[in-house]
This record gives sequence, C-alpha cells and structure tokens, in this order.
Amino acid sequence: MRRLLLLTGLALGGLPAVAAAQTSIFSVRGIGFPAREASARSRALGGGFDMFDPFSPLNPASSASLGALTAIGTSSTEFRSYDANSVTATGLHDTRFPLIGVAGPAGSSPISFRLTAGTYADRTYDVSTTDTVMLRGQPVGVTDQIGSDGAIADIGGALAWTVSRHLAIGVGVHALTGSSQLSVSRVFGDTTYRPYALRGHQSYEGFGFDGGVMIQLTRAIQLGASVRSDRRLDISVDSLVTGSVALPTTIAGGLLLTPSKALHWTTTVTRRSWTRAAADLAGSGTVVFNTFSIGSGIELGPPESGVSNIPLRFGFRYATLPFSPNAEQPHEVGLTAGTGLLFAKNRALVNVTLERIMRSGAGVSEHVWAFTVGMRLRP
Amino acid sequence: MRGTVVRGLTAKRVRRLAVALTGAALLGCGQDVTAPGVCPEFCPPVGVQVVDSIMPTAADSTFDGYVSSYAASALELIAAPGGFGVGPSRGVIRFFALRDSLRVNAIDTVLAPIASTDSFAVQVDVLRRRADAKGIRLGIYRLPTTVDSTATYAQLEPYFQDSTLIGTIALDDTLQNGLVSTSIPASAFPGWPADSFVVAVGVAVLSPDSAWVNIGAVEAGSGAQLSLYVHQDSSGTSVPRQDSRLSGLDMFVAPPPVVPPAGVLAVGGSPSSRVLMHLDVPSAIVDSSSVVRATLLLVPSEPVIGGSQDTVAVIAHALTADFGPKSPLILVPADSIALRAGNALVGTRDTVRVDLTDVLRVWHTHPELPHTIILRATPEGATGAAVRFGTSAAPSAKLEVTYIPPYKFRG
Repeated sequence: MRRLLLLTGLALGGLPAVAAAQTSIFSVRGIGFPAREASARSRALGGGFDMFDPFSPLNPASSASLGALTAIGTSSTEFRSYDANSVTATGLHDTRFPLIGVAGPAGSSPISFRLTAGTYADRTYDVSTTDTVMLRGQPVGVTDQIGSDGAIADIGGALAWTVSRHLAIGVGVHALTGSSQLSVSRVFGDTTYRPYALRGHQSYEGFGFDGGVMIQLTRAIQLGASVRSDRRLDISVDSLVTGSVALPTTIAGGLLLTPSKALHWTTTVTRRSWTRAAADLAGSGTVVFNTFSIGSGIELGPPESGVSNIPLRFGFRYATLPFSPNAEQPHEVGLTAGTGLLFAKNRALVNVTLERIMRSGAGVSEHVWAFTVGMRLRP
Repeated sequence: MRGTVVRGLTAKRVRRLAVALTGAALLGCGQDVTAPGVCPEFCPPVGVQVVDSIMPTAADSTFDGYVSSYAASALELIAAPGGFGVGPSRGVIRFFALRDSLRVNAIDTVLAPIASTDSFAVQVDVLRRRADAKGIRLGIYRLPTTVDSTATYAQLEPYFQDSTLIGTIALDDTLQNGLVSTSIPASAFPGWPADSFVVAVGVAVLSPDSAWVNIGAVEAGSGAQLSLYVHQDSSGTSVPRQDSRLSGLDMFVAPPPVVPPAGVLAVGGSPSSRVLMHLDVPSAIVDSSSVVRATLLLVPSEPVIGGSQDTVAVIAHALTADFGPKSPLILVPADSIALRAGNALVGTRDTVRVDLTDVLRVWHTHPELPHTIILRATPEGATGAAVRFGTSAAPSAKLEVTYIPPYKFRG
C-alpha cells in the first residue's frame, strides 16, 4: 500500500508538468493538435502497441497485463521545420512530458487499476507575422505575435478485470482539463506608436468515458478493442466561457502477434469522429475531418520475454489529421526506431525512441525529429 | 545475475546511464516555437485591429503668471533685431555680497583685509543660441545694485548704454553651448565696497544681425558667477587671492508683448501662461481600449512669437485633481520631456503636435483622474516665446487617438 501511495503521489505530483505532447503548425487550428498519449515503447512501435500498452489510455483493459505496481514517466523533445505558402521555418524545438502514470493489480484480486495524465490536444504555438497598415494616412510596418502555451490535459482512471486467462475487460473515465497562457502583441516600426501586449488565461473542462477488452485468442495471438466517448469541451478565457466544442468518439482495435518469445508484431488502428466538432469550429474557418490512424511495429526481445535486456523496436505509422484551413485533409507518416535497457534487477527500464514524422496537406509540409525518453519503475 | 550485469556493463554504470538520460531530457526542457505565421491559413482568426480617431477638445482656458523670469531655469537674451513678435530682452544679474577681507591661507581662522583690488571676472553658461548667427558678443553692463525682481525693461534700458558697458564676451561662431567669461577691470565697480559689497550687471546680446542667446540661471544650477581678484598682505608679502560669488538674483526683462485679445489661448511667455483643457475622450477608448498613440494637435491662430528661428516646446500634464488653474500636475520624467513635447517654430503657424499617449494611459490605469490636462511651455518662463491657438469659445485644438479595441482571444 505504501508503494502504491508513493507511486501515485509521484505520478500526480507530476501533473503540472504535463503541458503538451507535440507542437505543430496545425496547433493553431481547431482545438489544437491532437496529441498521442503513448509511452516511449509504444512510440517506438509506431503506435502499434497502443492497444496493449498497460499505460496507454486507449484501452482501459490493458492494465490487466501488469503483474506488479508500476509507474512510468515520459519526456519528448522535438525538432521541427515546415514549409507553407513560401514561408519556411526551421530550428523550432520544444520539450514536453506527454504521459505519466501509475498502474498495477489491486492486491491479489483480478482487478487492476491505472491512473494516467497525458495530453489530449496541444495548444502551443507562437506565430509571428509582419504587415504594413495605414495609420494617420501613413504606411506603418507592424510585427504581430500571437501565442498560446499550454494543452488540454487528459487525466484518466481505469479499472480492468481479468475475467480469465483469455479475457480482460476494463472501463475508464477521463477528466479533460488544463489551460493555456494566451498572448498577443504588436510592435510598430514607427516607435512613436507604443507596443501593444495582452495576456489571457484559457482553461478547458470536459469529460469522457471508455470501455475496452483484451482477448488472448491463442498463445501467439492477442486482440484488443476499445470505445471511448468524449463529451463537450468547454473553453473559458479569463473565467468567462467563450466556447464549447463537441469531442469525438474513438473506436480502436489492435492485434498483437507473438510468433516467438523474442518477437512481437503489433498493430493498432483508430478511428475518431472529429466531424462532430465541425459546427462548433465553423466560425473560425476550420474544416474538420474524421481521422484514421494505423500504427504497426516489430519488437525484438520484448522486456517481459526475458530474452534480452536490450530490446530493439521498429515501427511505422500513418494518420490523418482532423483540422485544416481548407478542404484538403492533412496527414502524417512516421518512421520510428527505439530500444530500451533493463536494470536494477528488472525493476527499472529506460526506453528511448527516435521518430521521423512527415506531415503534409493543406499547403503545408512539416518535418519533425522526435526523441523520446521513457522511464518505467517497479518498486 | 541477469538484470544486474548487462554485457559488461555493471549495474552502477547502467544507473549512471539512466541518470544521464533523464538529466539530458530534463536539460532539454526549453522551447522555441516562435515561427513566422502562415496567414490566414495558420494564424488565429482574430487579428489585432488598430483604429484612428480624431475628436475635438472641450472647454479650454488660459491662466497667466505661473513662472516669472526671475524664477526660470534660463535667461533669454534677444538682440534688438532678434525677435519675432517680441522685443529685445536683457539679462539682469545681481551677485551675492562680496567681503572686504579674506583668508590669506585656507587654514587661517582670521580674515585679513584686502590690500588692493585687481579685477573682476564674470562667467555665464551659454545654454542655447541662434545657431546660424555670426559674430555674437555678450555685453556686460554695470547696473545699480538696488535692482530687484520688480525692475522693468523701461526702467533698466538707460543702463544698457556704451557708458555703462564694462566688458564683452565674444562667442565663437561654432560654440553652441558652454561656459564663457570675461575679465572686468576693478575700475568698473569703483563703489562696490560702498554698495555693501554688492555687484549687479546686465547682459545683452550685441549682434549686427538677428540673434538670441539663452544663458543659465541659478535656479537650474547654471547661474552666472562673479570672481574677485585681489592682493593681500601675508607677513609683509603681497600675495594674490581670489573670491567668488554666485548670483542671488537673475532674470531677464523685455518690453511687454502685444496683449492678445481676451479669450485667446496661449502657452508660454514670461511670466508664463498655461492652458487648462478638458478632453472628452469616449470611455470605449480610454477605459476599454489600449491607446498606442495620442496626439494633441494645436493649430496656432497666429505665428508663434519668440526669438527668431527659436522653437517653443509645449508639453501636456495629466492632473491628480481638477482644481482649475491651481491643479496639481503629474510630473513628466525628465528623460521623457523631449519625446512628449510638441515643438513650435517661431514665426510659423505649423500645427504643434503634443504627445498625449502617456496621459491617456494614466487615465486608463487610474480612472479616478479627471480628463483634464494642462499645457505649458518647457522650460517654463525662460523665454518670451509663446503659442496662441484659438480662443476659449472656438478652440482650434484636436485630439487624434490611435488605439486597439479590446482584443478577444478566440474560444
């Protein structure tokens, strides 16, 4: 019990650090850039392990696979560049903590629990533009900066029941919260005009619930499926409700093949009905699409197999993105690789992942290098 | 042992590696997400709007007699042909009393009488001058020691004659400001011991062309200085010694300017005039918006008077309370005066633009303040230059405000 309290405290104590998993030029649109709540291990597998990862909020039944109390923390650093409408930006970088959590069995019962804090959507951007305006009959150059720093956080709790060796089911609830610091400024080329700056605090409130199942068909084949329904997200600026956006229903399925102890091949597909938000976002000129993603990866020497202390992982991911300024739906492709290292009598595991992500569509070509470090502790 | 030793790596080394990885991740916790915008596709849909608005001013009134020349920070000396709408002006300086005995040595406790007076020297601080005037000289005249702050130009004009000229200072044509001095023979003040050791001089600009010079006043710490050079007996040896005095009174006198019609709004002059102006700025601008620039436009109703080619700087003050002409001013930082003042060129009727941005911003943050300003010249009372711009009944001033309406972050 003391271990549980310690790990829970560590996990929840890290909540304020949860800011945003990713930033992208697409963060400006819609409710932000939908984040990936995934561990470093699952990221290295292209997201194909999301359905079976004990810490992935995608499936509340997945925590049933944990045999002991465990906590994880993840840090991700991205280096980004983009080309859009003859505008090129390079050298952009940021570091975030996309997923932390604690999970484990409730004593010797068949019930497992999981508490996670991750990022639902990233709201971080800092856009600088220049223009010339006519003031007092004279052209005056201006430089505008519009920024948002924050994210919509997803605080999740789940319970899983290991019904049998072949079946586990789970249910979960999600509190959507978080905030962003908004800023806007204008500096005039003619210094007789004073600079203008304004800050605001945007906060979010919503909830969702989900259910999932994991089925061990054979020793080598495992299936997973989940459904998540998120309700409306209320958005407030400086304590005044300024908007409400309908959130999508998520349907996901996964397949985990284990042809041998030393090899995992895992795939997860996800479908989200983002068009529910179309009417709410129409006023901002945002075109909304439903999204589909598929991630698949191979893991050589999984940490739980006992074959190796240094697993190797490779993955591929394709996903469409929900928000666009025009009728063209953007998408992203990712190639991933990673490894890990078990130590301290298998009680600690460090995972590292390198991702190359290419986004395109809506007139944008964005390239990202992402380096993720994850730590798993089992007291 | 598996788990504690990994192919040659000890558990200790592995732990170090884990710590290093974690540290590297944490050290990377910075961000640079500032990027050029791709608008309108990837910019927030609500931009910053800037609005220009011009509005008339409300009631105005002129009040006189704020700062007289004897209390001003400078003395304006205008040569006979050097003014526009104002006559020539003369400086009047009366020094603190000298003494008839001095210490021979600095450590002496007893004063020794002055054996003989050798000479005097007068030093003045030139602050500004008409830059393009050539061959300017400052004439030093002996004035009666009874002169005081009530003296008028007409009363003192007889003393500015060749017979009372006791010295001149030639200004180098390239000198725009700085200390200048001249030696004056002892015979110039034969009666100074009898006059209670007081010496008074007049200063006038001597120039064949249009010219003016502003010299420092004691009120600003740059007043004139009188030096006395004497010989004293030191144990049977005559030794030279020196004594100095600052001015106790300095001012300038000029013929009274033409009195403007009643109700004319005027800023400047000596004694100085101020304008009390009420501004009716909509609450939507001053309270709810962000003012990025505010300018008071003053259109002179007649050419600005003063020294030819000189300028009059007009500045606006917000008030802590509106008590009419005696309203307390919110002072302007010294380093902001030049930025906020509007300059009027003497002899022209060009629009004078006085910056009011800080005034409106103060009103924004302190809504209890009255929407009233006072316009005054700066430095005040130091010259006879003045701007006249319309009448109380028909003010010609306008307020131009550039502001950003309340910005609404998108939901």
